[in-house]
Amino acid sequence: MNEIEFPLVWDSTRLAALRACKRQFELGHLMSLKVKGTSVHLHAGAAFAHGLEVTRRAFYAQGATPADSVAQGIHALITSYGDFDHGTSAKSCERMVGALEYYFSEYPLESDPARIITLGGKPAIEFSFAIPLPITHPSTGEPLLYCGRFDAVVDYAGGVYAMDEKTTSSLGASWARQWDMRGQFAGYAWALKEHGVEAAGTIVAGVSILKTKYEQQRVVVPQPEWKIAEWYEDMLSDIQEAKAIYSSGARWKKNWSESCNSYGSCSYKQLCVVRDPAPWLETYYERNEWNPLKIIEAL
Amino acid sequence: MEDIRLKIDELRQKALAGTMTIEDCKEAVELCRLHRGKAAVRPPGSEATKRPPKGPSKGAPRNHTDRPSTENLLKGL
Repeated sequence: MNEIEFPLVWDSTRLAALRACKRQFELGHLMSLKVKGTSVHLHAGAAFAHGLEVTRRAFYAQGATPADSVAQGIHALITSYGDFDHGTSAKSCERMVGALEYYFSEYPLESDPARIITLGGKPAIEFSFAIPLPITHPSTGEPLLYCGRFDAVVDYAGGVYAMDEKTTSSLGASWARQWDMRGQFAGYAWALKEHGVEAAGTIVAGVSILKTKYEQQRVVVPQPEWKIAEWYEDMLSDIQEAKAIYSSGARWKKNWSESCNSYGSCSYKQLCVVRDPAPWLETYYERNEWNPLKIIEAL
Repeated sequence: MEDIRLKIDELRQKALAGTMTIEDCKEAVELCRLHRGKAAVRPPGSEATKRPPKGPSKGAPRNHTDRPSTENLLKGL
């Protein structure tokens, strides 16, 4: 029996790691190892997302004027960003503030064609979900959970969509093309369906932050019934496979292919290219549990 | 841009001290808007001119979306 616990809570990040490389999944999600330090992209992105959320809540839930709402969002963004040192990245605090102002100048709150709908009597801002799966935990027997959170549920061009904003360094045709097979978004449509909302798909809203300019792009990604069904079936199959590997005590295999070099390099690659990774662990990694449920509970 | 950076640095200090106000942030929003307005009217030839999207460079790793589909490959046989 493994000393390391099998995850009870699953999300798109965990699934993506499992599919990219079993060893990456083991290191990042069973052993909860991550590279020391905080990514500027994650920190800046989180501050932007918080600013976005506060802006929308001020406008849709509190009835604040658009100008006051954006100011409240900026307040939240700056507070979230804190005294983080962005280094040489373009995602400094002032650039992120500028990005939020830019985004709401491109899509003014009062006239954005993607209108936030009401669910359960409240504006559907920061929609969170935690849905039991028909797979039990190998140790406790509890049903596993699939969780997630996205920025808003909107009505757009006659359909309902899950909307997710993403900050990035650059936009273009390749940026737009990367989302049509993104399981994260099929999962959002599935989650909405489980909550009784028939979603036509996902709107991915990209905001590019460079040192001297901003750009934005929205992509509509349809999520038809058959695609959601395939995604769900594949998700269950992949998690079952992970459960079987865990229960058997077999070695979590390495990808030996493109996952090792994606986004520059897998963050665990230096552990895979040495016979004994132990000396590298203490120097470059720390324990930091990825718990999707904690992110939802923090709201 | 220096004026925005200085303003935001000032607000960050206020935020850490717990004294940042919504009015402070409204000023910051206005600064950002003014700066974007100035950037939009820069003379021709500046980086404000939009460049066409880049295609894949020779020898660069191919993005998976550039690969022909399996169906199209089989059609060629």
